[in-house]
Amino acid sequence: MISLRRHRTLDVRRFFRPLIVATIVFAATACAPLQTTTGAGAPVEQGQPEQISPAENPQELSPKKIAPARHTLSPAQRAVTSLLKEGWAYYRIENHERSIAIAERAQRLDPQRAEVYLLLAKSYLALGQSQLAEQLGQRGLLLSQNDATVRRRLERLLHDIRG
Amino acid sequence: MAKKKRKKGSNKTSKNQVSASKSGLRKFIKVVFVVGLVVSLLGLLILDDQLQRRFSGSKWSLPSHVYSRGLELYAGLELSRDALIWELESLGYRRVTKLRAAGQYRVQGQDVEVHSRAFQFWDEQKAAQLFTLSFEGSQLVRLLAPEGESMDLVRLEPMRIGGIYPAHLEDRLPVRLEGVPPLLVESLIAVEDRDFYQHYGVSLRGIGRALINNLRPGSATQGGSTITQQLIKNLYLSQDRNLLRKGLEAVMALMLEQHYSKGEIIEAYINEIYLGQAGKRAIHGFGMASQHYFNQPLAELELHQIALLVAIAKGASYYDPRRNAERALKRRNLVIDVLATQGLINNTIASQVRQKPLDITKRPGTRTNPFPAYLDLVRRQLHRDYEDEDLRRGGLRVFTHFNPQIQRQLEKVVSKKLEALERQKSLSDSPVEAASLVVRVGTAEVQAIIGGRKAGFAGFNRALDARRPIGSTIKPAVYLTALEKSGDYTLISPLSDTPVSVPTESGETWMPQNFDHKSHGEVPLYQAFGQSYNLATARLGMNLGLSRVAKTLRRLGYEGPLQEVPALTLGAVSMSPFDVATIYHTIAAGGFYSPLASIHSVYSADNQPLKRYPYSLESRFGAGPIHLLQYAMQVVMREGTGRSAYRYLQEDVAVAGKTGTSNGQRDSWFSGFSDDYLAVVWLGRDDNGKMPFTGSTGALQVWSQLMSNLAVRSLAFARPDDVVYHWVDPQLGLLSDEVCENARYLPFIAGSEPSDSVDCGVQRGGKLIDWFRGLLK
Repeated sequence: MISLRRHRTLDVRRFFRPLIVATIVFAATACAPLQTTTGAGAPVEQGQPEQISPAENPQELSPKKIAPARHTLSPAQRAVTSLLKEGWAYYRIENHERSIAIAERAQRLDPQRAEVYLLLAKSYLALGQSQLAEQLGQRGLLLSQNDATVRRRLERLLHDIRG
Repeated sequence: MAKKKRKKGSNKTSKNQVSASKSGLRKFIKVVFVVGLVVSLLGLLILDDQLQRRFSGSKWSLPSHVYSRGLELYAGLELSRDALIWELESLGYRRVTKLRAAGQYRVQGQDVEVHSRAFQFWDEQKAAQLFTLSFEGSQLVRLLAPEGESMDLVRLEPMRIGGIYPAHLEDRLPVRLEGVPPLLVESLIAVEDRDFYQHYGVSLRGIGRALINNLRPGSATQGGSTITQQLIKNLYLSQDRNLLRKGLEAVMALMLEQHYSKGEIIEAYINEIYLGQAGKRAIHGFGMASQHYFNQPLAELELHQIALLVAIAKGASYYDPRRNAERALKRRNLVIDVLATQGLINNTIASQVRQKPLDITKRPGTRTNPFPAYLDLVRRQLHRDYEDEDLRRGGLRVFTHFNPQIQRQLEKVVSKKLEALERQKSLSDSPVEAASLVVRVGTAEVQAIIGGRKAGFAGFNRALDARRPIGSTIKPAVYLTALEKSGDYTLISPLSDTPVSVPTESGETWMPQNFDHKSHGEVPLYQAFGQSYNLATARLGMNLGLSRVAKTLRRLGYEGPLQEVPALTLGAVSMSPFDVATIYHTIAAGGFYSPLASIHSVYSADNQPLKRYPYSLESRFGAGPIHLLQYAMQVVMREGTGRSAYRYLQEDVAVAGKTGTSNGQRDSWFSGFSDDYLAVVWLGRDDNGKMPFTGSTGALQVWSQLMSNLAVRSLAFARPDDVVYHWVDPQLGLLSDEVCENARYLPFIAGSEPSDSVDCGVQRGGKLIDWFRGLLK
């Protein structure tokens, strides 16, 4: 029989959290083999006959937990930073066509970098294209979870655009 | 006497008559002469005017040249040493043992030293540069300047990937005299017109010398025409050889010399002369000839290469070095002899250069249309802003997002994988066709396209024009419509996968089936999507309302025809791979719609910016529902109909996608994306025949191999602010715990998660290890 209860969190965890540092090696080692147990991941669904041919039955493929991704640095991080520096310099001297061209080049290298959208949005706003600037700002905001400074600047920009 | 007198008188009269008729004739001749003179003068004036107009204006119909992206190089880039060398070779760089000039590279183990060329990009003038690249495996790990300091970023010049040609198919790359190697000009004058700087358009001495010279056996044959006359003949006159035409040619040559400098005349000659044939395309001018024979810019040519081009100028067909190598070599060496005789090079150099091979590329360096499907897209997008005539004659320089490295992979994978699939199913009848395109996620830049399995064949462009039923490829639109109603639907909402029966307007009954002809009862939404259950989806779509589903498709970016019938929920709508890529890009880009773009910018022949195609976007969906949909699309890949992709991909690379199969397995689709690339693959037959492939066993196999070869980055699956994750029991629709059986970690739009929990009976902390895991969580 299944009983219902309110979901609760364990406050004791916060108390013991410092212990994590001391036990991290042990914990990591201990957790590794548990990664593939059914409790942590989703159950393996039987293949739908539509799509899986007998030769390709992937039952041996174990499903990996689907979870929000941790922020990883783009391999183009340094190149993009260098371009953004140049782009902001053009923005400051009000050469917005150039700052947009450079930001687009940076975007091609790393479309997930929030600051690229901040530079694009500010440049377009300076050129009077507030609607496009707002859309770019929104896109940047969505990507800015790991960059508090850029996030604040984007929020301020969107606030200014929306009045 | 009287008779005599009469006779005298009559003589006088006849004399008067003769003199009168003579003076009349003289008058007549005078009149004719004056009229003739006036007419001739008028004719000459008109001729002179026309000659000047043509020469001062645009002399030629210049084709528009289309360029790829410029390869960006930086430490950390996923690029192997061999892939870089392929790019450099395609750009016509020469592999050398010591770098001496731009357009060369040197390989030392895993290091490649490059002397790049200068190039006028749309956003900067790039100077020629020296740098060294170090590789480890398939990655570029270091980028160093000659002094050893680290560099952030270097861009190579783009590749010329084709052109849009005038009707007569003349192709040329005009060059300025200052960009032409001085030795080429000197050689041309030495061989073609030794008195060029002395005569006024016609050279009697030259004609005499040519006559004598041509009588000597074994000497380089010379024509009597000056360079100016040859230019006149090519620019203004027909190829007929008659006295009148020769006379006209001489007159016009004299006129041209009156109006224009020797420099202007030789520059026009260098750009006009016919120098070869590439299929139907005529190669004119030394700029294009240099690309055609050596795949190098004219400025980089060495003495033996220049001598060959000068040799070919005598008769491009007769001295074609690819067809008549020996004849061309003999003529080239004769040119070298002339240069030595005239003191332009010394005898030691001449004898060294004579030993060199022809040094031409096996295949023409410029192909007319090597990537027809991509060029087709470029042309269509250009037609929105330019008239056909401007494209064919205006000499535009079109910079695109085309990525030759990705195109190369796409062509390779489609060709090999299709053959393997056909072999596997022992197919020998009508071939299975393919179409595919790759888009950069976030920027919506189309990077590669194939319009058929023979990618280089310019035929029916299936990627743009084959509108075929998309089957389950449509399902993201149905489920996104549901997930936007977070009050009604979550990823664990139970859907009924039970038989559906709907009467249609035609009086028939629509009764869709699951592929396995079974119904699966009540299933959580994410699972119905992951396993591509038709009955559950049809019910969901109809409950949501067909107009809502249709509206979602429109918001995703689909603009084609759409019928709001129940079968729409299962993909009874015909789309091209391009349409599907547009829709899926909106999902991949977090709900932001951007039109797929192939063109970056357009420049005039003299490098003035004409038009830019900037990035644009429009928010069409909230980040939350898109995140949930992307989760479900990852379920497809990890557990559902797309899971065989992980035969090709690394386990830790997250990708999202959806299979699609139309009725009777006539179309096999797969559309999906990683962090960096979105690819759509379609397989089918042109006669709409059945295939032994589903979306999973056909298109997915091609897609997975492609994504593996591209070494794609794992999906950046960042949690939006309005999304929360919980451990839930999907079957029961209740909150659960990580330690419970059947528990699953799922995203919810904040507030839509279940409020009640299930007690699965497993005690936390039962084991020391669980205690630690709890802490870590």
